[in-house]
Amino acid sequence: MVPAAPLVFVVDDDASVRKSLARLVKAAGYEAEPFSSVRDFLARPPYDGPCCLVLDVRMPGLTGLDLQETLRVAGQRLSIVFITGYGDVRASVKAMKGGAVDFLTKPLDEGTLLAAIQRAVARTLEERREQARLAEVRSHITTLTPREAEVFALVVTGMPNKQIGHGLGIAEKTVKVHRARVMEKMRAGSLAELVRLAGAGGVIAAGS
Amino acid sequence: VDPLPAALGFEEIPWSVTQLRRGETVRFTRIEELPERGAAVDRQTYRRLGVKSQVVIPLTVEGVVIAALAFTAVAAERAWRDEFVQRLQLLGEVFANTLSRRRSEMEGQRLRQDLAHVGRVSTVGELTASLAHELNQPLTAILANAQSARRILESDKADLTELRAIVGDIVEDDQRASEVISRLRGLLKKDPLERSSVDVGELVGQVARLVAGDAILRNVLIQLELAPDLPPVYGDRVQLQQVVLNLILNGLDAMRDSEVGHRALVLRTARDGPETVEVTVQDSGIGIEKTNLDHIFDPFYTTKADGLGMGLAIVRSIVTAHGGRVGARNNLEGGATFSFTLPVVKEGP
Repeated sequence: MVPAAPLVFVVDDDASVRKSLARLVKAAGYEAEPFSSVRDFLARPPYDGPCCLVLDVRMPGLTGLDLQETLRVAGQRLSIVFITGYGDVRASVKAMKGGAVDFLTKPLDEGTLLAAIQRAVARTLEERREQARLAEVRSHITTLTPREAEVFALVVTGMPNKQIGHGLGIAEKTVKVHRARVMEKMRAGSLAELVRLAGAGGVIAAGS
Repeated sequence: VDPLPAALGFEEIPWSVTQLRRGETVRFTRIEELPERGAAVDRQTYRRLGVKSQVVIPLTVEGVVIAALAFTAVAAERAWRDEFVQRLQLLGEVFANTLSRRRSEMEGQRLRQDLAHVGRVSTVGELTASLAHELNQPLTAILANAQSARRILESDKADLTELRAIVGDIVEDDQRASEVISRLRGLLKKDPLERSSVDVGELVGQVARLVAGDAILRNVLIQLELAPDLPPVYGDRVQLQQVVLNLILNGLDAMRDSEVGHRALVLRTARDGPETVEVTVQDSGIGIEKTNLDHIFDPFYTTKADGLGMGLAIVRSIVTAHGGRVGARNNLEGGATFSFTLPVVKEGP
């Protein structure tokens, strides 16, 4: 199966602009889906494939900045290329601080727009991979027993087994068993990897 | 003898002013040294003021005389030695340099003032902002459509149906852009006006004072020829000021390259029939090319390298909204005259 071309969502209240941008994006080899409002876009089920958002800043009703905030709160990773008819400095600062890939002024330069879209698609993918990895680590953590979790938190601080056993009031041999179970459940091949996973999963060493 | 006035009107010493404008020093020990016929008015003025002897040095900045430095003897006649005059001329150069710096500062100030005038008429500001945004949308679409078409044409399989649709959309968006412009043309008319009874002569005088500094810097003599006892007109004072201001600035611009000493702007008010007042602004500038005469009031029509083409379009919009007419013609003696009429306030209820 041939992988589908990345999908570009075009959200602009101006029908001519929306239609022409969708057309341009398609002519450049992407799939395009136009929306006339933020509300319409939010009604669409989330898309898992490679994609990005080309978003007008000022629109009646919910604005582009509102959508950016909504996506952030919902934890949806979807990179945004903002477009605007005004050289609005405040909005551009807000958008870029909110993680926008670019903030372009209409009329749009073809090369600049397509380059921004390319970067946005790549960033969406990258952030989603990162998100998935994180989710995986977190789901592994949930399989740990309370005791294993305690051992995990101490092991990654570099504390020797004997000391961990002492700290938790259990035998060093028992610590070794828990430790092996943690490595297995977390799919870690080494202590170094376990430490990295702990960092990603947000495990904070207790009592250190 | 009364103290000398700080400044003399140009018309009081026309011969001296002409000399100075040519960059020549005016120097006399006795008033009789001035040419009897050419400088008759000057002689009269100096006698009236009790001037016995005088040296006046022109202050030149970038080849243009912007001011003069005068040394006057009033008690007794005084012979000016060449060496003394040379020193004065040196001093004049120092002064001119200082003035030159001051002048750049003033130009900055003037620019800000001009912007302030424009800003006062909110419709003009709205015009620009609205223009920028409303034209931006169709322009964005036209550009994106044209770029799509180019990509499709460059690809292996050019889809004619799609190309036809694209061209159709480009035409439509272009029409939309034209509609934006015609709507903007009508914008000033639709705006609610704050109308009251306006004395046209007073209004012209006010605006003339507003640009007096500007006129001096540009070496332009502004003359007022206001008809006495004109009936008031009915209109929006600020907008009518804008009309006069735009016409004056237009006239000043037209004389940018005129010979110094031949730059005159005449502002006239007159009655034009029983129910109409006419204001004319006559310059001695480059005039209007025949082919431009019909379009000079059209929006975005400009003959200036840095012009927007909005000044005269605004003039026409405002005057038309007041029930008046605008006109432009070339003068027989060179330069152009712009005019507009306004209906007078009707007597009775």
